[in-house]
Amino acid sequence: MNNDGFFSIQAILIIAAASLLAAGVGTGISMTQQYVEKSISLQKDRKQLILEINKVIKQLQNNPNQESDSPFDPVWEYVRAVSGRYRRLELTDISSRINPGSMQAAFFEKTDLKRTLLPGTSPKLFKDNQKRTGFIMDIRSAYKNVLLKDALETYFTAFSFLNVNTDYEYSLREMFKLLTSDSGAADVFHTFISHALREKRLITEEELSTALGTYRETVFPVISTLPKMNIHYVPGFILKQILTYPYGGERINNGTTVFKSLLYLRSTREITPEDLHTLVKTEGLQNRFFQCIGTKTWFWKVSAATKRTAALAVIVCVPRKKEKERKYLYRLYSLNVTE
Amino acid sequence: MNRNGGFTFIEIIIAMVIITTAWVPVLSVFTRFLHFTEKIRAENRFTEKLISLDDYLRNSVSEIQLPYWIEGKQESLFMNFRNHLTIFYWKGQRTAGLKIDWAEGILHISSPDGDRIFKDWNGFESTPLKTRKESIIGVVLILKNPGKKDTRFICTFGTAGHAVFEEAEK
Repeated sequence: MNNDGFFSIQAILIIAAASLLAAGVGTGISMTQQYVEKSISLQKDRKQLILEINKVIKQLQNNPNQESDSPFDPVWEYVRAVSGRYRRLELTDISSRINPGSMQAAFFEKTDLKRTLLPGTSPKLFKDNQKRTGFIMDIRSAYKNVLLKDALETYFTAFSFLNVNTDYEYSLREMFKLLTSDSGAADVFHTFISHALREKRLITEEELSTALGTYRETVFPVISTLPKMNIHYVPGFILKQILTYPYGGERINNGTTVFKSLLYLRSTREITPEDLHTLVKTEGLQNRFFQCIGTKTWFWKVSAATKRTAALAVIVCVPRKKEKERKYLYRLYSLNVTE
Repeated sequence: MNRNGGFTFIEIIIAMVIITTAWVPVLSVFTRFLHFTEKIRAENRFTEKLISLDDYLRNSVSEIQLPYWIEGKQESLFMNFRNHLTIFYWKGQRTAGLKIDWAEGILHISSPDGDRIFKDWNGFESTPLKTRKESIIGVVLILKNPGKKDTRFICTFGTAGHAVFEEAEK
């Protein structure tokens, strides 16, 4: 019967159209669900990594001996304990190296650091490059024409505070100007540093504080008398150069022996500021050693990753002086999360 | 009466009327369903557009990395005029910038790493995102949507610059 057949075909067509629509909607829902699930999962990973970085900051903050950061601190135990949960969880001191933006070119002339210069490059060429680029975060690009690539990655950093007793006077003036936007005050500050250099003496914290006046709050701790590098994490090669540099023409006695003792000691226990002064005997301008080397780390890098997400954070230690006691606050300077 | 031969014309007409009448609400529901689906699709497209722009904007602005010696109060950080914004310190470089332009419905976001366009926007406004101590740590972009409420994107820089040393509020 044709009429019955006609009605069946109509029904089949409607059912087919409805099926196609249902299949389309179903696929759409399924794809949306997958996308939402993936997004939720990525968000969860992201949150987890940020939470972990904050826990590392807390661990650094809770170091029982705030005057010294060493591989024997609880933060390392914590990192070891939780690192199994991640594809990567690493903590690195990134400030115990040389800042090419502020270092004295003379350091190349009088130490083996000259080996880090590219063949055919002189300390003068380095100085010209330093003057041309000024302060810059991307030191890899800025100094690739004067410093060896491997050395740049191992021995140099853009993350460091400047020390009025060891850094290049014109770099200090430049940094002062960048921080305060006051050219006149920067010149006065430069005269103050030059004066101390000519008199061959070290500027004390109190003296600097007085000289900076109202600008102290603005420039501290970027410009200070704080030791630049941490004895526990400074690369051995750099430590050796700092120990053997002739401060005011006089090398530190038994520099090589002291170097070996320091390397041994830092591998066995935490070195306190008092230990450092006991081990390294200095006088006069040799005391500049303690302006370069101390026991605190100012910038840390935390690198963490799950299977799908990676996070890179830079943490800064901000010193605060409350009456006679110094306190250290740890803050997140930068955070970059990628998928 | 032999009915095996088929239906009468009247019977077919009546059947067709009944079937057609029955189909009216079905088709009406179906049309509403299609409209509803289209509306959801449009909303989804808009949400997708928002998510895509939000993602790109946030990632781009996070590439603005103020060195720790740069105070985010300096005017040199931004170059801002009608329908144009440049934020300097792209990847920490003083002269490199992230540029946001709008013209004829198209939002154009460009940086030294590349550029991307976003269609169907009616312009934008921007204000700096500041800490309590007035240091700039990001940017708030208000984008105007045709036929919808303005959308506000709060984007922070990748680094806090010198503001990281600010005394905490008591």
